[in-house]
Amino acid sequence: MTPTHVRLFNPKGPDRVAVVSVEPSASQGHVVRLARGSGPGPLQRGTVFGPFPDAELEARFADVLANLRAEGFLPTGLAELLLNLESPEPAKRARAALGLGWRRATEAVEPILAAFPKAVDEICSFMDALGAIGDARAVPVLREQAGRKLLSRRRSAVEALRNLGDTAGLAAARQQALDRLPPPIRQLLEASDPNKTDAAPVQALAQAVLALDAQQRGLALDTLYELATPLTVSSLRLAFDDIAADQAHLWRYVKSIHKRALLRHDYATFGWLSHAIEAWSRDSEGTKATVKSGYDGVARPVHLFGRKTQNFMKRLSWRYLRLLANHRPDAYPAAAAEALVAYTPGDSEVPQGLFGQFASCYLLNRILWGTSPRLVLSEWSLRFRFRSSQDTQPPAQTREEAYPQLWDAHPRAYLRILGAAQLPEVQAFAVRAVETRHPEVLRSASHAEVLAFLQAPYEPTLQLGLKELERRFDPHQPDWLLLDQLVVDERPLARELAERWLRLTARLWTRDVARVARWLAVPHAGLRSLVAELTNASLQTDANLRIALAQHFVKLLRASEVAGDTADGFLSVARAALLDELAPLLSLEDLLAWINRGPVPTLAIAGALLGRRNESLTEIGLEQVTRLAQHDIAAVRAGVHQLLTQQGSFHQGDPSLLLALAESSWADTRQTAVQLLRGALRPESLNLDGLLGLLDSSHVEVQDLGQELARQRLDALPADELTYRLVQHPHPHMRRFALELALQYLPDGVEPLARLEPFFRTALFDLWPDRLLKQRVLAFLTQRGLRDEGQAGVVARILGDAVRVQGRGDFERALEGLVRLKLAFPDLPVPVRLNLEGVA
Amino acid sequence: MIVPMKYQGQSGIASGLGQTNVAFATNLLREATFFRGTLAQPLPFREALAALYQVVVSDYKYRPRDRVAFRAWLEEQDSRFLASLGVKSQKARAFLERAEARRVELDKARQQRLRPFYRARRAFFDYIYEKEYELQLLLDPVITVHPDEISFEAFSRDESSYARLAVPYTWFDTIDAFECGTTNIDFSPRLHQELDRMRSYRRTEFHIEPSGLSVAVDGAAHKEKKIDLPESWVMGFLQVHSTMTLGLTHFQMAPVDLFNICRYLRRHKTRTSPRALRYELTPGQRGRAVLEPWDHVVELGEESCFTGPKALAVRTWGRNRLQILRRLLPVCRRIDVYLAGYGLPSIYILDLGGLTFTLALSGWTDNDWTGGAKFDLLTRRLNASAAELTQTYEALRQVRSATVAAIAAATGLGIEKCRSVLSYLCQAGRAMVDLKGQVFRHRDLFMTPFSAQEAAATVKQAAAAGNPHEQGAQAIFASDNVRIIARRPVTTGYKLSGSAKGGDGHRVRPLLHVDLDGQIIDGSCTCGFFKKAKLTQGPCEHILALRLAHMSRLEQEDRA
Repeated sequence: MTPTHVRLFNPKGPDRVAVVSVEPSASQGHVVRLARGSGPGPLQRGTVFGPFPDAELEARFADVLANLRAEGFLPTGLAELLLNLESPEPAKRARAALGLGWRRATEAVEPILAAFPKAVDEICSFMDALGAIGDARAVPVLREQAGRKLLSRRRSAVEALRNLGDTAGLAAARQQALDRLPPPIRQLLEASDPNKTDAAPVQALAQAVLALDAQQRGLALDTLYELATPLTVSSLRLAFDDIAADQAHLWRYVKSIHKRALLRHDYATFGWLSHAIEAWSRDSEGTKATVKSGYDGVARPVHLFGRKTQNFMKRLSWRYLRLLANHRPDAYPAAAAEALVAYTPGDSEVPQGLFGQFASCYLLNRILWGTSPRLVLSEWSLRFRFRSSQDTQPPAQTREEAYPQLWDAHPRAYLRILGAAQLPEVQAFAVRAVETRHPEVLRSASHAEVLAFLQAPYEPTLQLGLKELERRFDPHQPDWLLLDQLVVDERPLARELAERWLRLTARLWTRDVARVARWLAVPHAGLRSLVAELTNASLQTDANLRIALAQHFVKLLRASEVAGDTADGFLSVARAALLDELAPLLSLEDLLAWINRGPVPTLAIAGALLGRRNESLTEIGLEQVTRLAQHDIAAVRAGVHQLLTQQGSFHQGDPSLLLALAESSWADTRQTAVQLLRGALRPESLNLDGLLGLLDSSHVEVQDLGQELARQRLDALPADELTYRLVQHPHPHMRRFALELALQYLPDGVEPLARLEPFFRTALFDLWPDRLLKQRVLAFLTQRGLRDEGQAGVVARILGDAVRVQGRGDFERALEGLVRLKLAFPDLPVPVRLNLEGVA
Repeated sequence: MIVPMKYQGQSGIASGLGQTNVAFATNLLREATFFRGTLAQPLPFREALAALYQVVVSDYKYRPRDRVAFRAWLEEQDSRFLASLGVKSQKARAFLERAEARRVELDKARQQRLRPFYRARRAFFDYIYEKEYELQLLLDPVITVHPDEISFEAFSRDESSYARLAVPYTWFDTIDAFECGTTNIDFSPRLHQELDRMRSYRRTEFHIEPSGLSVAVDGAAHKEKKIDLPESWVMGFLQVHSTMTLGLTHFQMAPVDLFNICRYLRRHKTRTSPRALRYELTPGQRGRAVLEPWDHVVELGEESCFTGPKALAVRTWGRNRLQILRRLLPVCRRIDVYLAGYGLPSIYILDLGGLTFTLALSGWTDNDWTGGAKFDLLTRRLNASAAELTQTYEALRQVRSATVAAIAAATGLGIEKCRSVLSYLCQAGRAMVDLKGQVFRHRDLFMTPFSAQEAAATVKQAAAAGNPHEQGAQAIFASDNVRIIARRPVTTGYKLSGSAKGGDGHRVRPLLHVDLDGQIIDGSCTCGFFKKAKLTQGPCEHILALRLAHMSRLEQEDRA
């Protein structure tokens, strides 16, 4: 595109001003007109070149400009800036350098480098300018400055080197930055991939920074940003969520990060940090603190992040955007979009009078309503108010944003806004633009960009996104790439869409084994379940697909690719539809190896397959069976239970396996073993020791089985010996049975009764007692005590303690027993004294 | 503090027809300690080990209920109520009621459907808890083989209960071999269940050795545990023995008395304070245990006749911990109770017919042994040099257990000095107090061997860790701001009345009762600290200064 006219200036004359312009020729094409003179005022001399055809015009125009540059002419303003580099005022020199930097004037490199050795206060501006111009001649001085301790010098030098793309210089600076970081952070950085932004390392790094002393935190944050990797920048943003920036030792580094973002043209960081500063300024009046200056090392009391600083920072952000608009117009929409997407509904305030809900959102107002005559800025508070009450509503067809022509020139910035903006007003701005002026930009958007619309807090944006996605989707010839992205998208609306499309296209994708396998492992459980359900439905009618999927599943399993939280999809399909196909694909050895070493979530299938094996228990190995029957995974145990049940006849001959399993710590295995033992054990085959093996168990169900068998065999067993042994059982569940035996079979005499004394005491002095048991024990003791004096002595000992229990029922029964004993054996020492006077 | 443990085998029980092998696997990282013998009476031993396990796993710390779900429910009710206020039309109300009824119905159906899931989840959490608890939290008991007994020591997770089970060698029919020393034993919840299979009709072989039951678990040759032990836990373990050297109030009770206390507590829950167990002791009379706030009285048996010089009422808290002893009550013969004072620790020693089970409880459940009461302030300790510590340690290690007098004779140190040195050794985990036998026993709690440097560091640390009250007392004594107004010798020691001016410039009146060894039996003061905390956080600086003055007076009298 040929400019319409260019003004040039030659400070050394004689012609000081020249204007090159393009005019239509009277015949065909265009002419290039050159006017020159000493100026100011009308230019005295001139030349006309051409006419040139349109195709040549640009080249000829450039020739004319080149000739003038050769004569010593420079674009207007540039010459003045170059002259200002020699100004005696450092501030003027600094401003000139920055201006030259924005213009990327290579002519300025030599003058700046020449002025560099004498520069003091303006040196940072010089380096910023050199970085912006991007001329490699500046590299040596920048490298030298990058090693300085002073933050401002180091920052400008490193960022300039980054703009120049000086890899070696940046590597040295990176090493210095790493050395500067505290060891815990350094170790985390060394252990993580710098280009990945997974949640865990980002969070760990942010936490490590937050754990530092307040004095170290700011420098660490600035250094992380200097390292400029995706990991460090993400962790920086996360850490800022928990930081109040207006604190001493921190604010200077926040400013530094902001400055770096501007120099680096990192629009994302610029956007959120500018917004964050604005947000902080709404709540903070600043902090008074005495801090040491990084410039001269003197500690001074200062007001950090006060009103003036807050306003300066707000203006700085907008100034940056304006400079972008003027000097890098291509970049303005992207940078402005990043600034807009940072605003959230939380930034709004209650409208008061003419101050609207976004009155304090300085940058938002500047960008979104920058050309609106409806709004007036209060320079003191930097708040926007409506000019009058009639101006509160925006005009229908009028554009109010700043630099509308730049937005129109680069409409892709709207996509970023539609995908990320949280504020409905900002969304409305972009939707209006896309719908009315730039519908083509929607068609050029990538799938990911359109999918991002689905989380917009603005209904028209959602509709826009859905409409576009529907347009792109054909259920007969689906865009698999789009579906692939959709099924892994975590946004609810995207998931709903994915579910609908998966159903619509099920008959197509369920034929593709690789795709089924991939989608069975999508991150969202609901979608995995749907994929499994649709796959199962399809598998019912397609035997070939079942075989193919089973083979694929085994292949994945062998490659250890079925693991983790997402294995449930595979497991669901395998359990519902593939067990018959999987069984012949795996040998017993495979299966056992799988159970021993396979990923835990998949063992449910392994267990189900184990239950289908035809091998006998001895082939599998009794030890192996015992171990598997007590496996941690319930499905594996269930498989073994199935095996054990199928081979019931095996246990008739040798129930030892079941007896071992009856003592398992797993209730399901115990129950299976006990159930099978009921069928396998013949009471007549059990002697006293065999029975006690069951009765001695700590598990109730085994004890019950033992009791059942014991009752059947009582006549054939030494019941008194069984009683003596059972009363030693500590489990409360066995006490009733033991007492039952004692009541029936305890031989008469002191010695047998005395052997049971601990049992009676345990029954009576239990904090969680069985009331019926206690009553029966007390009755039994009284009855035995009355038989002879010897037994009465034993009973009196027990009842003597029982009578001291503070429970009325026990007390009365024990007392009654003691009284009866005393009456029967008056010489018996009991803790009861009878007063028989007056008793008939 | 990370405590590593490594076991070659597993502790376990193997029961045959006529024999049971009880094998405890010992920590391979500790000194070689072993014991082989045949238990004569396994049943009381079984019950005692069960009680020991209850101590290990007990955690009675108060934890407020999580009320998040309740608050959420309450908020939901509020919002529903507010929403219903806005509904004016009858039609809408009827519709809402129908919808609400349907919602309740659906909720019930959902609960029903999810019940197996919740059950499985609960079972899974229980499984994980049990497994992880053993590997990460369950601190295995410390076992010490002495020349005359084996002792098992354990400390509860909440740091408020200490238990020691002493099994004398007379409880073994045969003793094949033993090597004295201290180690940990593998003690899991599974083992606790297995121990219940001990019976008297089977010969019970009792082994303590590295291989345990020689079972390699799932191919893993060793079982390793790393317990993250809080420093306070270790300090508490050591502090118990410091308490045992105090002048304690002693009386006896019958097991049925303790049963009555526990029975009442089990049946009655209180939501209001006070929740103390108050022992009322009158000389020559049977004691009474009073349960607050109901003031329920348990009249103790005849064996509780108090032999002290004057009537006492001692309140102790954390009484629910006594239920740990429930399995021992039927087999217990007698209980010795030692009380340190109001809100201070209490010690219960159960005689199981030769076996001795000691349960020491801190002042109250949330007051762990290191938390509040500074028991070492109640004792009188002289400074000890590294050489004296080493000398005493070696003397004790040689004989394994001895009275203070015997050690003093062996080392040539004075009785007082020897007592102080032994107290430091207890604090360093190198010795322990056997309250029942009234002897000190050698016991290396830690893996590292004893060294003179460590000993010196312990003494220095103890001096440096000095409580501000101790330092305050030294300052008062040094500035001659304490006066003994009256000193009366009594049968138990001395009763003192004095006057002291502390750092705040106020003069107060401390009263002190010390025994002949200088240990504080009781004390009181008119200062604010004592009024607030009594002796539960240790004596105040004025009481300590009065004791210093008393000890100085005694020293002068000795010289004269």
